[in-house]
Amino acid sequence: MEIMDGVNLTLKPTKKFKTNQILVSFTTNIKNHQEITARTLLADLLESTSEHYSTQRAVALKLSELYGASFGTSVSRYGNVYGLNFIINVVNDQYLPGTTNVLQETFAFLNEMIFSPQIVDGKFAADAFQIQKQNLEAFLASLDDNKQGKALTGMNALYFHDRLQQIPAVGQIADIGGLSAANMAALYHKMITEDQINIVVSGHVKEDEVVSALKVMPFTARKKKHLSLIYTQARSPQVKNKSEKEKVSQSKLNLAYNLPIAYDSQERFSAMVFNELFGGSALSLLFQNVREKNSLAYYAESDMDLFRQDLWVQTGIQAENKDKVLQVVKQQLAALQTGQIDKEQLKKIKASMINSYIARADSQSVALSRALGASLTGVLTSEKQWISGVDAVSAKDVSQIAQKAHLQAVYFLDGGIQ
Amino acid sequence: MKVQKLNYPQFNETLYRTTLFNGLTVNLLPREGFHKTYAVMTTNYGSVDTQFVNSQGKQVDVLAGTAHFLEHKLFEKEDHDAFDVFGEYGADVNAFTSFTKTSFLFSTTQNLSKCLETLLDFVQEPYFSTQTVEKEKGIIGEEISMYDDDADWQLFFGILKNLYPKDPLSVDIAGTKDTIAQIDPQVLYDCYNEYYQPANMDLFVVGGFDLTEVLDVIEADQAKKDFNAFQNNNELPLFLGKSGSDIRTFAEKTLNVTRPKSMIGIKGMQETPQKRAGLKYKLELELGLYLLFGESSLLFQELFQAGIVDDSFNYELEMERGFHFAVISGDTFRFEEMEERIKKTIAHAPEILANSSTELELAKKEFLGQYIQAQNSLESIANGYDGKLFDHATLFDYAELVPQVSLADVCAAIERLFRPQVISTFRVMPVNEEK
Repeated sequence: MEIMDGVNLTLKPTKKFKTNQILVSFTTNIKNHQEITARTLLADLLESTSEHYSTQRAVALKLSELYGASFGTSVSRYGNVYGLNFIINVVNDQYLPGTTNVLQETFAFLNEMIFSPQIVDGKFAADAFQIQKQNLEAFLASLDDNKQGKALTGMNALYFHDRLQQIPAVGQIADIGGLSAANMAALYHKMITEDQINIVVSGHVKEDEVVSALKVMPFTARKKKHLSLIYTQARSPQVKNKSEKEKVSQSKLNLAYNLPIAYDSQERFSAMVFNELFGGSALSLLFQNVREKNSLAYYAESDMDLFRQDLWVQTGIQAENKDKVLQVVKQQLAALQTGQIDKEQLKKIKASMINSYIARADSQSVALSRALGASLTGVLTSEKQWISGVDAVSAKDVSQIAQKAHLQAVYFLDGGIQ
Repeated sequence: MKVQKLNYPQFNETLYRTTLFNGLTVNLLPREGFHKTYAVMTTNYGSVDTQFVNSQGKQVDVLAGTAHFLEHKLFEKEDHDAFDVFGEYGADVNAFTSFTKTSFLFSTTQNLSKCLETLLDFVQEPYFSTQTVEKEKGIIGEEISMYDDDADWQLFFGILKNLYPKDPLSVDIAGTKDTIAQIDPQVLYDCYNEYYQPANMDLFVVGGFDLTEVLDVIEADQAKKDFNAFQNNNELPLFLGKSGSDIRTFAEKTLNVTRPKSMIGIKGMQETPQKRAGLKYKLELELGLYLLFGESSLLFQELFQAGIVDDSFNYELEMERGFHFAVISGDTFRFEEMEERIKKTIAHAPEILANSSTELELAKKEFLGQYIQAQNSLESIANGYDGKLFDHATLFDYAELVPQVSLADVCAAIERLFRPQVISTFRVMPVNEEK
């Protein structure tokens, strides 16, 4: 439902959960890579304080008063689209003792956090700004402490041609220096007046109740934009290789492939089945062959992002086994490309995907993110369509997708031979 | 067979509980509107159970990492792998090992009866061979390597080595590459036979299922199987609080991290109360630690505003069979200031808590809300069940207890944990910060 130009509401009424969940998502296309980091800092500033709640402790105490409401902001990337999300989860009043009005108070709290930041004279309050900037700097630096994460970032930097896509969705430390309390306030105003807004509410709520609560919030109409999601890049004839030495017990070998499949095509179902069969589950070829048959890894898995049109493999291995693992991974993809697909295995993979799709609908946050996804892409897939889409995928379909996957980059975090 | 019906009208839930002829405890919680069913089978056996007395009366020492190794190897049978069977039914399956428990679980939206039978079969019919055991050593070796590079895991086990230097709690749950190298099929069979007895296990099923149908499947399955008469439980009583003087008060290690990590540990020296009194003690401690070190505490506010700590500041209470301890930690270059302020807070806890009656009321609202939020998750409900430890308490019991806790209760519990004061510090330092 469109509340006004550029502001949409999706309501997901359900009595299944004991909580009500509200998501307010601001999305935009951005051109300058520094804005990625800036939006992360903005998300942190908007989460931690407001005009009325001037310290992080004041916010925490308010959340306790709302019976332990879980509130937070986050940033996300959907291909070329960047989101800044407010999310809050509160207990439904019917399960609380006495007479309470937590839902209405929650909307009032969200209103405060979204629309009344600590901005004075065109700048974020100096204290809050300094603390959040310092903390974000430390957080971005510490991303490298997670070695699996570091290897993934290294692989993406190698694979992607576009500067924005090369850096993590939360930004990078090099872009923090230029951020000031004034330009953050300007970024806030741009977001609040220009970004496309999607609101999703799930829970035991009535439409008129939600609509009237939202009316109190000063959302303004904005120019409706069609955001372009898909990031594409030309396939390179050569595979890029990079190795970095690091003092670690376990080396990480990652492979990135170009996979040009449109997220809104029927082919996406074949791509999902392909990924699951290649390395997306414990029944997959990578798990079976890298881990179970050859004992080369504890984890060996694949994943894909159709908004970015890439597929990647992550493994944690011993450095001396690098060539062997590379060979086994390539063999598995080649097997799929040449149609060596076990019918029984394919059947199991599809059954388990359908099972987990239905099972995940039992999670309120999954229901919320599916609704947001549908708003962003304009692709509405019913449960029935999804199931029949997956069910219809044949071995030949999988093989055709596998043929479209082209290795582009191999990144190795090298712990040395021990 | 008697099925106990436990009503929680405030939360609109009914839990059914029974003990089968062979001693297996079964908890069933049907939920309306859910497509999924989650089932978890748990053995009261974990990484700290490293000694038992066998049927010949002989004390057996168990290699570190055996419980976890067993968890991995129960999936693989002579002619098939349980993963594949669940795959045929479209179900997801997994397992995990903690200090005192080993759990096997699946979730599914279809073929529930077959999945339940498969779970019971693969857990209750062990098959170990030299070949399959040897093959697993490479995989678990990589799991250990992965944790060796995980700085937070190293920080946590660092403090455990300080607080429990001579106890199995100080060794990684997966063991070490040396200990797992010595594991063979016989070791696994010995531990299996000792610990995987129905009376030492429980099954928790929660989700969208029919009560009678599920109960019938479980009963029929168990009736078919021949269990050795439950041998007197030879589990040695576990209490890891005895040694207070031989702890290490400080240690550090260097790793490839960007900034220092510091953790202060407080070792519980008194045995925890039994049954529901133990549950209440745990809740009181959780509330007390939240008031002293939580997000809305004065300490956190002060350290945060001064730029000494960020959101990485955290505290945790661990209370399982045989031990309890609390840890407070943060990632910061100003670790000395953080440590000093934490120690000061520990020393002044009674005064701080005495002035916290308003904050306690808010904290109780917070806790109640969080326990209700957790009820959305089938996994949280089933995994939050601690079996015999707190006399079969569930998340619903925690939620019901919250209003009953007074400030005096919280003060007494914290006093019990903090006195006698046995505390220690462990740091993980970046390579270039080495002292």
